[in-house]
Amino acid sequence: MKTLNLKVIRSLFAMKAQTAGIALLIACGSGLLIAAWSSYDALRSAKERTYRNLRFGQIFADMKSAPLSLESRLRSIPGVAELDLRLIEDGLVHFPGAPSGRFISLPEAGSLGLDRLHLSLGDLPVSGSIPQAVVHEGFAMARGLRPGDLLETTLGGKRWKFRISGIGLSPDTVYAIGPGAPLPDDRRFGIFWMRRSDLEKWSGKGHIFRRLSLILSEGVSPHRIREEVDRIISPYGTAGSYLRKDQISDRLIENEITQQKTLAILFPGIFLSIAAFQTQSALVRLIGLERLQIATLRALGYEHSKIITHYLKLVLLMVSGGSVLGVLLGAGVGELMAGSYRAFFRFPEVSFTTGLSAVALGIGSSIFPAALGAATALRSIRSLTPAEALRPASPPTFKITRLERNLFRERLTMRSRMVLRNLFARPIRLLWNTLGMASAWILLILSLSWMDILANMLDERFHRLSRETLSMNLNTPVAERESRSWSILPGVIQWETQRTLPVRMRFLNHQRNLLLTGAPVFTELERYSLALPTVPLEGLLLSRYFEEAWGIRPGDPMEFEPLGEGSHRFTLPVHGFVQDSLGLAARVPKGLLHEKLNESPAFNRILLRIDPQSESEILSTIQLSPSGAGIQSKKAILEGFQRTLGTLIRVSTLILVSFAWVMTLSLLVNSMRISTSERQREIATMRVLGLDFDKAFGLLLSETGIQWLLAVPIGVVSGNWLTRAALSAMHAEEYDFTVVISRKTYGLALLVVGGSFLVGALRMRSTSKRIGLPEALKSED
Amino acid sequence: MRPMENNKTPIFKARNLNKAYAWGEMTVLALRGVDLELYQGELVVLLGPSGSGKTTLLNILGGLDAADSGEVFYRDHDLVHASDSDLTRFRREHVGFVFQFYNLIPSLTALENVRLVTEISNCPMKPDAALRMVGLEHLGDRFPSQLSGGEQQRVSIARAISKQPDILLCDEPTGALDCETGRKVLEAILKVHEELGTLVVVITHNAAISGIADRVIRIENGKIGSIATSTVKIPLQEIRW
Ligand SMILES: Nc1ncnc2c1ncn2[C@@H]1O[C@H](COP(=O)(O)OP(=O)(O)O)[C@@H](O)[C@H]1O
Ligand SMILES: [Mg+2]
Repeated sequence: MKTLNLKVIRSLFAMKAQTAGIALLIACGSGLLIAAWSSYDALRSAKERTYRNLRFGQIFADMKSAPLSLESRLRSIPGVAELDLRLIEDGLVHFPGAPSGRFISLPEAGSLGLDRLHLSLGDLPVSGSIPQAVVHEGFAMARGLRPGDLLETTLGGKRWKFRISGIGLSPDTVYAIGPGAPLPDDRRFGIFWMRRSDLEKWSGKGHIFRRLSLILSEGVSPHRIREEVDRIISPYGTAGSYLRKDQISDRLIENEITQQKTLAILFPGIFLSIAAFQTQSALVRLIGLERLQIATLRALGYEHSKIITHYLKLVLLMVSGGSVLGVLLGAGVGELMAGSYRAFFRFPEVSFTTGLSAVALGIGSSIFPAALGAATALRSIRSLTPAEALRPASPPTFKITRLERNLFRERLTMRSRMVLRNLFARPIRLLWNTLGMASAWILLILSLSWMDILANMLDERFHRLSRETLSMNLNTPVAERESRSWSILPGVIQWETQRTLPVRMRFLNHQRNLLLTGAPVFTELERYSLALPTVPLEGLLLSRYFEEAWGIRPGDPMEFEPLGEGSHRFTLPVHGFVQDSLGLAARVPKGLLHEKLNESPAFNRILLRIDPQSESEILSTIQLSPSGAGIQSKKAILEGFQRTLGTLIRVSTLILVSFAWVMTLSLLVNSMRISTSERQREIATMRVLGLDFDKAFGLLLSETGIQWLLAVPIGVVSGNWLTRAALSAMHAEEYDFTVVISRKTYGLALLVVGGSFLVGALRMRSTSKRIGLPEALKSED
Repeated sequence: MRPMENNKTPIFKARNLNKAYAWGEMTVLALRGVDLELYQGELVVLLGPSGSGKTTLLNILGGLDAADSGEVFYRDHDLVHASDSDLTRFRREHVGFVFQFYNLIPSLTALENVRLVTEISNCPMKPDAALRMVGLEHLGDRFPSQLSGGEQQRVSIARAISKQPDILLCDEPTGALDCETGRKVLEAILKVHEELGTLVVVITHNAAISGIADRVIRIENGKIGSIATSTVKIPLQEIRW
C-alpha cells in the first residue's frame, strides 16, 4: 500500500498541468456557488436583523386622515402588542430637479415606537426656532447632505425652512420609492422624519394620523386583528390594513432577495454543472491513459477495491486543491457581491461571512463531480479482464463508412483519413469533447448577454416606449382644461395627461396593489407596445405577468378597489396583456376610467416632451407651483437606475464573465492537453516515418480544430437557449426582460474561445515538440 | 546473395559516440565511445543484453536521437550537428524503421499505413507491391486491430521499405512474437534485403537470430564488444528459439 501511495504522489506530479486545470475548473464552479450563496445569505440575515432590531411593524394601514383619539380603541384590540400612529405629508424639496419629499412624524418623546430610525450620523430632531429633521440616508448621500444643512420645502402650498439634524433610515424605508416612480431613485425622492408638533404646524392638521403600524402578540393570527382594525379605521378613507409582505419596501426587497436566490442557485448551478462535466470527462480521459498501469496492478494481484481507492485518492487530492481555492475565491468574490448590494439595499449593515454551510456546500459540490468522474472511468476499466487491458493499444474499431468509400476516399490524403476516422470512430467521445468545448460558449453567452439584456431593456423602456422628458404627479386631480397651462410652457413640444389611481386589483383569490393608469387612447409619450403605429388603447391592458401568475384570460373581470380616495369599487374586463420590463402596470383608456369613477375629465399626471435646452427652466417654474407633488425627469430616473440596479447587474455580470473566461481557458487548454497525450504516439510514429513535426502536429490540431468548429453552432444555440431559460426562471414579477444577444457578445465570446484555443494549441505544440521521439515510441500507453 | 566485401567504403561512420541519460542525481552512460562502420547492402545484427545500449545506438543512427558527443556520418550527412528538419528529411529519404511494437496507425488500413509513407517519399514503390513483398497483398484492407501480431509486424516492414530506403533499421522486430511468426517476419526482412540490396540493421538480444547476419556486432555495456563476420549464413528454417 505504501508503494501505491507513492504512486499517487508521483502521478499527481506527472499530471500537474492537468491537475491544475481541473483544480481551476472546480475552484471556479464552487467559488461562484460559495460567493453567490453566502452573499445571498448575508442579505437575508441583514434583513432579518434590521427588521428585528428596528421593530418593523407586522400590520400596516394608510388613511387619508384619522383622529388620534382612535388610539385607545386600537390598542385595546386583544392581540395588539405595540402600536404606532404617524402623520405623513408629501411636498417638494427645493433642489435642482425638484425632488419630492415625504415628511413623517416621529413618536412623542419617551417612546421609540415602531419602524424605528437607525441613525448613521447626527441626532434626532429637537425643538428650536427652525424645525429639525432626520433625512433618509439614500437622499442624503445622493444630494451630499450633512447634519446642520439648511433645506427648504413647499408643503401644503407654503414654503418652509428646516435643518438636518441627522441621517438615517427605518425598516419600512430600506427601499425608498417615490409615489409613481418605477424604481427607487435617491436623487428624486427623499424621506424626512420630524417632531410631530413641527409637522402639525406645517400641515395645519393636528391630532390626526395617516399611517398605522402594529406588532402582534406572540402566536396571534393577523386575520382577526386586521378585521378589527379595518372596522375601526374604515370611515377615514382607507383601503384597509395590509400585511408586512405587502408593504412596498419589504415587497421590493423580498422580490430582489428572491431573485438573488435564483441567481445564487441558477448561475453557479450551471457553472458548476459545466465544471463537473468537464472534470468528469477530463478524469475519464486521464484514467483512460492510465489503463495499462491499472491492468498491471491488477495482474500483480491488487484487488479492485484497492485500485479504486487508489484512484479516488488521486482524484480527491486533485480536487481538494481546487476546493480550497474555491473557498478562498468564493469568500473574496462574495464580499465583492455583498458590497454591491450595499448600494442597492440600505440595510444598516450587510456583514459578509463565509459560513460553514457555504464552505461545506462548496467542498461537497467539488468533490461530488470528481468522484463521479473517477467512478465512471474506473467502471469502464473494471469491466476489462487484465489480459485485455494489458494489450498495448486499445484502438476503437475503425470502419470505412460507405460514405467515405463512395464519396471521399480517393480524394483524401492518409492524414485526413486519420483525422476523420479518429473523430468518428468514437462518436460518443466526439460528442462529449464537442459538448465540452460548446460549454465554453454557453458560459460566455450566458454571462455576457446580461449586458445586452440590460441595455436593450433600458433602450426599450426609456427611449422607445417612454418618450417624455418630464413627468409630473399632482396631489389631486385637476380639470382637463387646466392642462393648457402646462402645454404653453416654453420649450414644450408634446404633452399628454393621465389619470392615475392607486388601486387594489382583485381576481378570484388573487389581489395586488398597483397604480391603475388612465391614458389617452392614442398615447404617444408613454407607449406600452413597440408596435408602430401605436396600437390604440381599447380596454384594460395588464402586464403579462398576471396572465401567467393569476391565470387570467381576456374577458375575465378584474375588480378594482381605489386606495385612499374613498371611491367605490368597479370592475373592468381584461382586454389584453403587454410586456412590462420594469414593474407591474394596469392601463385603461382615460375616458373609461372617468366613467367608472363618475367624474368629469381630469388628470393628475402630466407627461411633457420638451426641448432639452429648456429642461432646467421648466423645472424651476414647476417647482414654484404649489400643485405639484413630484416631478420626474426621465434622464434622472435612468441615471438612478444605472447607479443602483445597473451597478448590481454590472458587478454580477463582471463576476460571471471573469469566471466564464477562466473556465473557458482552463477547460479548452486541459482538453487539448489530454488530446496531446492521447495522440503522442501517433505523432511520434509519423515523425519517425519522415513527416515534418508541423505536419504530424497538424493532425492533432485538425482533430481538435474540427471539434472546436462543431462546438460553435452547438454552443451558440444552446447558450442562446439557456440564457432564455435562465431568464424565464428568474422572471420575477418586477422584471420582465426580453432576451437579446448582440453581435458584440458573440464577437467577444468568439474572441475568448478562439484565444483560448490558440493558447491551448500553442501549449499542445510545445509539449509535443518537447517530448523526444524515442520516449514517445517507447511509451506504451 | 553474397554479402558485400568489407573493403568497400562505409556508408555509416560513427566515431567515439557518447550518450548519457540523467536519472535524477545519477547519470546512466548508455553509449560510451562507440566506433562503428556500416557498409552498403550488408545485414548486420546488433546483439547484446537488455540495457546494453542497442536501441540508443540505433536511434542515433536513424536520426531519432542525438548523441552527446562524437560524430555520425551517413555518407556526407552529419547527423550529430543536423537540425530537426534535416533529420526529418534524412529519415524521410533514407531510413525505414521497424519497431518491436509495430507502431502502426490504428485508424489506417494496412495499405493506407503503407500509403502514408509513399505519399511523402521521392521514389516509392507501389503500396501494394510493398505488401506483396511481405506476403500480405490480400490483407490490404484490414485495420491493424484485425491483424495478428506477426501480420502487423510485416505491414510495418512493408511500410518501412515502401519508400525504397537505403537503410532498414529494425529494433527487436521479433521481440513480441513467437518463433513461428517471428521467422515469417525475418523472412520478409531477408527478402527485402536480398531483393533491394538495402543495408539492414536488426537489433536482438536473441543470439539464435545472429545466424542470418553478414556481421554480428556485440554491444556490451554501451561499448562495442566484438564484431564477427560470418562466412556461412544459416538458413532461416534452421533457426530456432
Ligand atoms: N530515456 C531514457 N532515460 C533514461 N535512461 C535511459 C533512457 N533510455 C535508455 N536509458 C538507459 O540507457 C541504457 C541503454 O538503454 P537502451 O539503449 O534502451 O538499451 P537496449 O536497447 O540495449 O536494451 C539503459 O541502461 C537504459 O536504462
Ligand atoms: Mg532496446
